[in-house]
Parts: sequence; structure tokens; C-alpha cells
Amino acid sequence: MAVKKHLLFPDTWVDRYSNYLFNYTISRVNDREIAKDLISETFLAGLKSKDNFKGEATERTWLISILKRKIIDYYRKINSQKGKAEVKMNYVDNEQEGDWMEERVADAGESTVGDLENSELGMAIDECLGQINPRHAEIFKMKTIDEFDTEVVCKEFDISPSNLWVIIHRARVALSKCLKKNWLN
Amino acid sequence: MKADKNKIKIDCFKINCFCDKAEYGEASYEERDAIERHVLKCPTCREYNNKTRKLSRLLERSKRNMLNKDERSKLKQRIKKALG
Repeated sequence: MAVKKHLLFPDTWVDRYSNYLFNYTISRVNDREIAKDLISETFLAGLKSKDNFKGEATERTWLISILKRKIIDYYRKINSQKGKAEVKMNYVDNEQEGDWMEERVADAGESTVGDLENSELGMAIDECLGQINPRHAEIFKMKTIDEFDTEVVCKEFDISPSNLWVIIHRARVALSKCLKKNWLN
Repeated sequence: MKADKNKIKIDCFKINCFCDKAEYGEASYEERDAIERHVLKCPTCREYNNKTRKLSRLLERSKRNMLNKDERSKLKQRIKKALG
């Protein structure tokens, strides 16, 4: 049976993966600005080496592999003992980007339990939002995460306020179910 | 009898939406009052109200680790710029 080949859609990377990558990074570097820089560098490296993508891993796994390398480079740069302990991976310096990228990523880290839990929770929420009705997820994110006024969200999606609350309700029910299944247990 | 059951279902759905709205601090006085009166006699909605509060706490906790719309749009701009 033929194995399904994954494709890359760089135009959607920021919307689809930035929060997931940010959650992954923040618990490791513990600095919002540095985390954002590393994610930005990850996307740029991804664009640069997209021709090396073989389609064996998912787009997200591939981006996480690049990010992991960026985190290692960051710790090498600041020569931090903490970093060496936190990122337990050892790549050969002259490896070509694209060969190592599709490795399966194992979580390594020694951040505090709270940080790690929040980070895992954030990733679980992000994953669950990816599984619910895309329009509901967008509306939910805009209202709940980005904290836009109801009026603005309604205008953006051309819906009435009562419609918005029904959608928010459906999104919250779906999210709770998904979190219960994938995270709370 | 069937009509009553349907009415209860519709009421519960409405109350659940009010519960969510209250989590965003946007439920009116009447809506909050309706929640309070309804959950006293409806265990299912009482449970939903507790659940949606729990979800809000989880979301609040995770928000620290999320990028807001501004940050995401800056990220997009940075990439666009780098691409020339």
C-alpha cells in the first residue's frame, strides 16, 4: 500500500502552527521575544529548504524538527549549561538541513512542571482547535484568545451576536470533549 | 409531553449559551438571573456551567503561551520582509 505523502503549505504556517511552535519553544527558552525570533527563523529555514521535504513526515513534525535545531543553535550561541541540559539532542554540525528534519521529534526538556504543563496544555488546545469545525475554531480564537469585542468578531464573520454565542458554545463543547479525551485523561 | 421535553431541551441549550457568554463577562443581568434559576433545578446545566468555568480556567492558563493576533501578524510581516 502506498504511504500518503504530505505536502507543504507555507502560506498557512503562521496561522496553523505558530501557537503550537510557540508553546513548544517558550517552555524551553522561557523568553517570549526569543521564542518569537526562533519561530520566525524556523519558518524562514523551512521556506529555504522546502525542496528537501520528502513528504514522509507531517508539515508540523517537519517544522518542529527545524525548530528543535534552532533551539540547539540558540543555546550553543549563548553557551548555556542550562540549554545543554534542556535540549538533549546531538546533531552533527555539517548535516544538511532537510535530512534530519523529518525525524520524529521526541519531547525533551527539564523546565519546571508548571511551565511544561502549561506548554502541553497549550499544544493540546491548539491540536483540539485543529480538529473542530474550522469556522467555529476561527471565531472562537478571535473571541477567546485574541479577545476581540463581540461586535468586531460579528462584523468580521458577518454573523449576529446570538449566532456568535451559539458558535462559541459549540466550539467550547467540542473543545472540552477533545481536551477530556486527549489531555485531561 | 413531547412538546414539553423539546421546550426543556431548547431552554437548556439557551442556558448553556448564556453560561458561556457569562464566562466572557458579557451576559446581561437577565441572562445571569436565568442561569441561576435554571441551574437550581437542572443538574445537567449545573454540570455544564461547572465544566465551562473549568474550561475558562484552562484557557486562561494556556493563554500565556499563545501568540496574539498582533504577534502573529508581525510574524507574517517578518517572513514577508525576509522573502523580499
